[in-house]
Amino acid sequence: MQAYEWEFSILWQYRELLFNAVLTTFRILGLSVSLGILAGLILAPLRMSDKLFLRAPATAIIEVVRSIPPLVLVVWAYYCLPILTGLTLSAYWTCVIALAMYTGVFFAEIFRAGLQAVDHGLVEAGRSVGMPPWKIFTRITGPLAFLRILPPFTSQCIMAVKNSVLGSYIAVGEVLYEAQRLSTATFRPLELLTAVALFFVATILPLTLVTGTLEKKVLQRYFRR
Amino acid sequence: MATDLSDAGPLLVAEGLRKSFRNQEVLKGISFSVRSSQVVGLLGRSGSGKSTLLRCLNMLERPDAGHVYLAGEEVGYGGTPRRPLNARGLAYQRRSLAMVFQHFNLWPHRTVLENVTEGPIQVLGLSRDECEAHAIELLDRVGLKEKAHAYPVRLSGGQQQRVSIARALAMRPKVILFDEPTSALDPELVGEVLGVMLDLARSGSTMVVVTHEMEFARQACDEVILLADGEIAARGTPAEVMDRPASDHARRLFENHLAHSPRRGDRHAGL
Repeated sequence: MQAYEWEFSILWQYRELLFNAVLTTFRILGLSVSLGILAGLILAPLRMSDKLFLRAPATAIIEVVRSIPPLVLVVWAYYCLPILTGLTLSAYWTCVIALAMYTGVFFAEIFRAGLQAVDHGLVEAGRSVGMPPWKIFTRITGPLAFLRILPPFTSQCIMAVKNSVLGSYIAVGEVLYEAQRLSTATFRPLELLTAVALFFVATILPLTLVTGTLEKKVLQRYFRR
Repeated sequence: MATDLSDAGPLLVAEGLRKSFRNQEVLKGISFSVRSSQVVGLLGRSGSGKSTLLRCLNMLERPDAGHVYLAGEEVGYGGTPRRPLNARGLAYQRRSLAMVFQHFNLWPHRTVLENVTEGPIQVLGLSRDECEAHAIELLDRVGLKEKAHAYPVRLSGGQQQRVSIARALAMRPKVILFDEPTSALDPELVGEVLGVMLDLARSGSTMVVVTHEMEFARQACDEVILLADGEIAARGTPAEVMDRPASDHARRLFENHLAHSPRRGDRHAGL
């Protein structure tokens, strides 16, 4: 087998295009994760409600969306949503919304688990000093749930980073799509796709390391004897 | 304990409190009252309903029937026709009814000082400086001033319980409710908590204490109420109830209770 001659200068040559692709990926990420958190914050309390007419639809949404593969969700949203709703969104926004939905239902379940894991005695302590429900949420259950869900929350964010490449299937100009386009044009798939893989390692690894340390600190400081 | 407020009527009144869990009637119509600066002990075996009774006083459990009045105002209900107060209205009343829990329930994400100042700052809306000064004073009183900036997880059970007493005091409540405050403690830590409570009792705090500590009840309480199967089996001064039980039933129950007192070695039996 002939030795392959790597030619990484191709990355520099198309730096502007690739840089824009990276930016698009980060924009998709930022938007879909923020919207996902928002969706989670809305769905989680509904899912926990003791009123059936609130709980049932929230549960249905979560269970349905959760069982659809994210790629199917993106493609479905791209082709079917405009037909069903008459609303035509760009591929970019379709991708953002589909990924936000997908991430959101997982966030909802994570938030719910976090809130339910807070020792009820701590809530009663809040009640006994006269805190109204909103104060109990913002001062006690909210912060404690947040500390508890840090690990699953991070995993879900990492999944969101990975899922952002699904936009390439509906021609959203994020890293994978642009790299693939470029590799067919330049016949340099090895360099370009390796760069894509390394880009994800470089994005996710710091995230894992930072939250790992944070998690340890939190445990050390508040919970571990 | 003589007080100048004794003729102003009782501070806390419970009237005909009933409570059932599923089909089990835990409280079968309990009435009693607490005057200002009085210390009332609720005694009884596990399952006699004493903790439920205490939790009905600040509506952590809503009684099925009966009334609770604090300084003449009904707790948990209002309006005409009478209906349950909403969460906000109830929260407002709970400011004056502090509670100390069996398992301390200190907020783990706040320092000792923040645990004490949380209520006054967040609920009473007092200034941070003022609350911190008062909190330091209270922590000094329970002997934990030097732990002000530690997180609860670094403290022993006895220390945590003393902080939780300081947290209760910081609200300047009209009444402090104690729910078996020493039952979750290792035996060697019980004394430091009872010491603080005895000090409070002697300085004129109004307290309702659910306890298994007979010696504490004898020393601190003006009145003890002995509960059995959701009813009051005996009431009176500690001496009356503990030394000269009025009925055979009460005596049997009481001796039994003493025999099963956590002091005698089964402190952890129920945990």
